[in-house]
Amino acid sequence: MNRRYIAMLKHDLVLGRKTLILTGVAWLVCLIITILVFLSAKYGNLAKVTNKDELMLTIRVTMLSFSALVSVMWFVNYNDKVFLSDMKCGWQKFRYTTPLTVREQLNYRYGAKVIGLLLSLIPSAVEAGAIVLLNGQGLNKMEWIIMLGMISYGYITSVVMLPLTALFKDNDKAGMSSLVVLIVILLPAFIKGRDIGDKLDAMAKAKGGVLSVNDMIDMLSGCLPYVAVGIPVIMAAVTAVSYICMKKLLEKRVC
Amino acid sequence: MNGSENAIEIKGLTKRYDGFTLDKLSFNVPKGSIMGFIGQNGAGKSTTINTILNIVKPDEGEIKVMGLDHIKDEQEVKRNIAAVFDELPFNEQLNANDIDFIFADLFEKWDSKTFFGYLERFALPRKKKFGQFSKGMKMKVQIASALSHGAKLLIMDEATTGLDPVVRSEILDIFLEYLQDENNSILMSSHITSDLEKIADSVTFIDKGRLLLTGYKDDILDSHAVLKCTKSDFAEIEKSDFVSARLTDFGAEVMVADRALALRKYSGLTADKTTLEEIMLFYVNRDKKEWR
Repeated sequence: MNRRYIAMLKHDLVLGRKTLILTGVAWLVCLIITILVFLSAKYGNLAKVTNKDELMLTIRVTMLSFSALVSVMWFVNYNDKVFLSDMKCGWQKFRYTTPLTVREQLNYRYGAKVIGLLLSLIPSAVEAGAIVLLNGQGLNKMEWIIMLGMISYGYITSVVMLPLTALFKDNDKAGMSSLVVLIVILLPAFIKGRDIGDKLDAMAKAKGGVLSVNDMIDMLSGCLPYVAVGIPVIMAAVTAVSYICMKKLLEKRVC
Repeated sequence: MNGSENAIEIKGLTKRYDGFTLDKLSFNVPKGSIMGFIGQNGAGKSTTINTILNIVKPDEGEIKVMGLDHIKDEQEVKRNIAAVFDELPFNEQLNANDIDFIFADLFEKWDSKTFFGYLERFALPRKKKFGQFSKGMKMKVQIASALSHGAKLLIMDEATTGLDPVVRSEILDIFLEYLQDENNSILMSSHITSDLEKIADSVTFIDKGRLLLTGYKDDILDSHAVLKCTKSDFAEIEKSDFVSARLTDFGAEVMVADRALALRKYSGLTADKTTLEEIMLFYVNRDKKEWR
C-alpha cells in the first residue's frame, strides 16, 4: 500500500482524535443506557408499567436511531471538520506541493467514507444485539429501516458535503447547500410519504385520534421494498456524483 | 531527473485573469544558486510561483523543473521540491511531533533527525501547538519541514516578509548552508530586497505581469547606476538614456541601465552605485519617466 495513504489517514486521525474519542464515549453511554433501561424493564420499575410493550417499542426505536446516528458520526463524519479546516488553513494548497496526486486524494477520501460506512455497522450491530438479547425480541422490519436509514443518511450527508465544503470553504454554506441537494434527492420519498401520511391520518381519526407505534410500524413496513432498493441506489449515485465533482475541483486546484 | 543546468526554466509563461495578465514570462533559475524574485504587490510573483507548483494552470508557455515538465512529470517534480508560503499551511492544532509523524509517510525521503535538528537549532518546542507559535516560529517550522525531505529546489513565496531582522538573518544563514550542496537551488520571492542583496546570486524583476530584468545580481547592480545631477545637467540627458528620474529640489537622481555608456556620454556627472530597492523603485516609475 502506498504510504501516502497512511500519511493522509494519520493526518485525519491526529486532527480528528478528539471527535473520535467523544463520539465513541457517546456511543458507549448510549449502549449503557440501553442496557440499564432494558434491565429495568425486566427486573426494575419499568416492569411494572401498564403499557410496557408500547413503551419498550418506542425506547427500542429511539435507542437504535440514536446509536446508528452516533455510529455513522463516529466513523464517517469524524473527519468532515478536519477537511474544512484543511481548506481554510492552506493544507490543501500545501498538498499540491507534495507528491500526492489528485487520484490518491480522491481514493483516500472516498475509500475512507466507504470503509467508515462499513465500520459504523459494527457498533450499530452491537447496540441492536444488546436490545435483542435483553428484550428477547428480534428487530422488526421498521427497526431495520430506521437503523440502516440513519446510517445511510449520515453517509449521504457526508459525501454530499465533501465537494461543497471544497467549493465554499464554509461550513454554513456547504451545510445549507447540502440540505438543498438532500431535499432534491429525497423528493420521491416525500411524494410517496404524503400518501402514507394521509393513510396514517385516516387511521388515527378512525381510532379516535390515537395512533400506536405498532400501527405506524405496520403502515411504514409497506415501504420496505422501496427503501431496500432506494437507499443503496441513492448512496451509489451520490458517491459517484460527489466523486466526479470533487475530482473536477481538485483538478482545478481549488484551495 | 536529468542533468539540466537550470533548476527552473520558464519559457513564454502566460496566464490571463480579469484585469491582470502574466505576459510571456521567460527566465531560468540556475542550478546551485539562489534567485531573488522581486516585484511590487500584484506584479505576478505569486501567480508565477503557483504556476511553477502547478497550483495555477498556465494559459501558454512551458515550465521545466530540474529538466522535467512540471505537469507531465508532476509527481517526480514534487518529490524534489519544497514550497514555503508566507502563511503556515499546517493546521494550528498540530505540533512539530505530529508533522514528523505525518510527513514520515508523506515524503519518501523524510528525515526525522534533520527535522528535529532544525527544531533544536531554532529552539522550537516539539509539543506546542502551532496556534500558539509566533509568526517567526511558524516560518521556522515551515522551513524546517521543507528542508527535511531531501528537496533539491526550495520555492519560497514571501517567506521572510513580516519577520524581524534577527529571525530573517537566522533563516538566510540556513539557506546559505542548504546551498552548500551544489545540486540545491532556491527561488525566493520577497519584498525585502536587502535580504536578496545579501544572499541572491541572480535576480528576476517583474512588474505588472511583465519581465523587466533577469540576470546575475552583480551584473545588474554593476550595469545600473544613479546619476546625481543638477536641473541644468538633467535637461541635457536624453530621455531614452535613462529608466526614470526622481526630481528633487536641487536637481534629479537619474537611473541608467548602462552605467558605462552613461558615463561616456555624460562625462561630467557622477554615477553612484545603486541597490536592488532603488532599481525596483525607478523601474516601477518608468512609465512616468520623471517623478518625485
